[in-house]
Amino acid sequence: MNEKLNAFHIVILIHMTQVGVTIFSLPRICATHFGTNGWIAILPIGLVVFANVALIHAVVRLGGGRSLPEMLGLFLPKPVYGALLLGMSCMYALSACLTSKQYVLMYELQSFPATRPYVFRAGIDILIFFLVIIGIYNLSKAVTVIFFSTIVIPFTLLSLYDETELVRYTPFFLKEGTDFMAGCFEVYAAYLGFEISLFLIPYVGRSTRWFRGVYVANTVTTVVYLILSIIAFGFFSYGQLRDMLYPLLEMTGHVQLPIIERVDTLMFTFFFLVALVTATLYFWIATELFSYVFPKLDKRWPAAFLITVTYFVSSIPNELDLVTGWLRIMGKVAIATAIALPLLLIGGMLITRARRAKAS
Amino acid sequence: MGLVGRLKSWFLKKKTDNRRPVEDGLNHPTDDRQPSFSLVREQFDDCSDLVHRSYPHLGVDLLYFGHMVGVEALDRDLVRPLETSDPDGLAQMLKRSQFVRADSLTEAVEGILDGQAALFHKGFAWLVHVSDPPGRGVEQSEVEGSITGPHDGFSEMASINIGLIRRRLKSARLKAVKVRVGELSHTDVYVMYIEDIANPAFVNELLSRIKDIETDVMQEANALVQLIEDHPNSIFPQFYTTERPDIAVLKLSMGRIVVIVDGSPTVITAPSSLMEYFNAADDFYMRWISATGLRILRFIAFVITVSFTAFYVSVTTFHYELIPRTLLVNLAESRARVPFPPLYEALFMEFTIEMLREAGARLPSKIGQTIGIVGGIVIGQAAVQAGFTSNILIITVATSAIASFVIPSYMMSTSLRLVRFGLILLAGIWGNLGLMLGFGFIIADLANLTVLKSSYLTPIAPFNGEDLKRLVIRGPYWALRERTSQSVTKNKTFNKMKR
Repeated sequence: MNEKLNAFHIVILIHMTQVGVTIFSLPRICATHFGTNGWIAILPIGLVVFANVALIHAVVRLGGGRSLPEMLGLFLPKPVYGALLLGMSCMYALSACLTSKQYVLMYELQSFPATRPYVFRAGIDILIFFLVIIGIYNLSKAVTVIFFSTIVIPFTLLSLYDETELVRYTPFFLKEGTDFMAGCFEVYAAYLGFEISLFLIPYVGRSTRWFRGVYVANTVTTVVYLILSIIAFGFFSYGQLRDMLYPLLEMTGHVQLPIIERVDTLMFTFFFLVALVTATLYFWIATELFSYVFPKLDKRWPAAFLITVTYFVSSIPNELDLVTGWLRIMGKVAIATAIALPLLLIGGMLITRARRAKAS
Repeated sequence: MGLVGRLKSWFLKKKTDNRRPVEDGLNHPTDDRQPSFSLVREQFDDCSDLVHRSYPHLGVDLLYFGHMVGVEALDRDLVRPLETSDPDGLAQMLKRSQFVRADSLTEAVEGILDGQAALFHKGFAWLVHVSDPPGRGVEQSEVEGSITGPHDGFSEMASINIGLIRRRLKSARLKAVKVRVGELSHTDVYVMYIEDIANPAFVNELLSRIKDIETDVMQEANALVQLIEDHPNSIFPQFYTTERPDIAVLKLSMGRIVVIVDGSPTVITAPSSLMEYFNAADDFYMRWISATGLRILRFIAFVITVSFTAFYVSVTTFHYELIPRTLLVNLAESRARVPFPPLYEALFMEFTIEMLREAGARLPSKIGQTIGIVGGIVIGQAAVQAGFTSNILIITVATSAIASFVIPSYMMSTSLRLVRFGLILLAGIWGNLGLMLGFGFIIADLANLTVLKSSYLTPIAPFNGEDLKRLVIRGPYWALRERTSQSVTKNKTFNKMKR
């Protein structure tokens, strides 16, 4: 039986790509950059992300079922858009590799100083390779299973709601923030993942109803970010939040179960699968972009090439801070791409349409 | 293919499937010659078990395999009438419907091989159905026992197996398509399905795969499965197999296809999904609340058998911080006398258990019991006293082993045992993170699996809440109104058949 991605899969795919290890530091980012009750900034940034999603929606509607290279081919010469696609492929592949490296380094810091990150990362990359080559339909199945396996994590954090104190929220809003713009970029970067919708077009059929799934995913992510940040702001004092590297991870440390200690360690281990999804989906985008340029090549080869090259490139930053710094830069590039690419496509397609109308 | 060609095929995308369509697995040419006695006899040179009877007064020769025919039927339908008949009587006899003219040499030879008797007269051949090949009768299945419900199991005879199903499904819509597989074995394979319920696309796909099989001998359904499955290199079984007619009937009524292989007591059902492997026959006969409880128990057993020993290795090697303080003292005491790292300790115990299980499975039941007792002593108290293992590991390994027996399907249970070893190794190298990596590989493999091109992970992915509820909760019979979506049937609702 022929399979295709339905709205439910798209919600899960996009939501799981959006949620990455940044979620653990989100309350700290909000507190540091936006100040007291910084969680509230998630709402307007979420709305801007919705506008970005709407831009992509406009592209999908204008494109009428055309894939990304077909749309670019309407108004750009092949060498130009080929170079553009290859550049984007490298960017997404590096982001993916850095994401998995960030997780491994965080894990090393958290509970496993004896890990040999290079070997372990190689293991993760092999797994990512297998996931990428099984194709997006099967990948969406794997992501669905991972979603159901890890759904317990946010609910565990919700159980700490009783520990929140109203007084910790303070009566002030957005005071003592350090760098508003930096905060906006970091929170926006935490939403990245919605742009994969642009690459799903060939796998969803001609109707554009599937795109509702992207809006739903974005809403779910906003709600999850908002609720967890609100709980964190009520759980820790404002001062504590600013000093903590990963406040949500610290929060899980307060969850107590009778049969197991240090639930935070276990939760973070489970979170590996979530980080894996983010990295895999970005590698999948990178492979797709590479395949657009070299369509005759079996997809296993671009996947293996990108994973191997980025493995070595991402070995350059060897500390967590450096990796986070690189990821911050990649995040800004990815945000710029997420906004500029749809604008370029809309502009290009409208001009092409106008020219054709004029010619006829 | 030259070097350039090889490189091209290695790097470039594969072209679509170009398997040549084969009419039947037996693709050798048919011999259309007239089946005279001498020609047929020549085919069976040196076959000392072929019986030749001659009736010179009638000019008749009989050929058949003595152990393939029913003595009573042969005597009643052929031997006695031929001994007492005259030429006119013979002419009348040959007009009877049970005497079927064989038009080609191949037909006559295959008829004799099937257990029919061949009668030769004036250069022509007739086949008479008197076959009764030796075989086991209907007995209880040893692999799939049940406490409540029917106790009859499939046997090695396809005819008996079809009978067991037909007795339970008295419907003309139940179809049985016969295909022959095996160039030497000529094994009869029956594809059974209920018309208007089973999806024709699945039936055609399965039939074409079975027809495409090119092999010499086909003896077992589990061997046939390995020749028709979508992913032969996966560790997980993809076609659900059963030895119980009641389960086969249930699957047929759900819109699945059943494949019976002559000579095998195992029957294949398709398409199937991972979740089906955790349902047992008893589920459908017990009260729904108890049945649901047992199903949930099996899912917990699945998690335990796959990961419990690996988790022990991971925790005792790298993550002592996860153990509650009260248990930590006992664990430290238990591990204090063991000189090996937890990984080796666990592997030693798991290997011992697997060896015991394998030895017990192959030995006659009386000696098997002795093995159980010896094993119980060796891997029990003696191993602990000798300082080979800790008490807690024995509990862990035993729990994992018991949990593997809870899985109703033997094929699935065997696969999961192998998966467990992989996870133990990963946990011993990278702790909990290795365990997660192992889960990642399992999920990747499962997500990639399809059965007749339908998802193996259904109803989890693609998600179908109704089906998921039905596979986890058996539900009261009055609530079971629809067939699962994996059947892709036009008759989704029970008892509301439409053409």
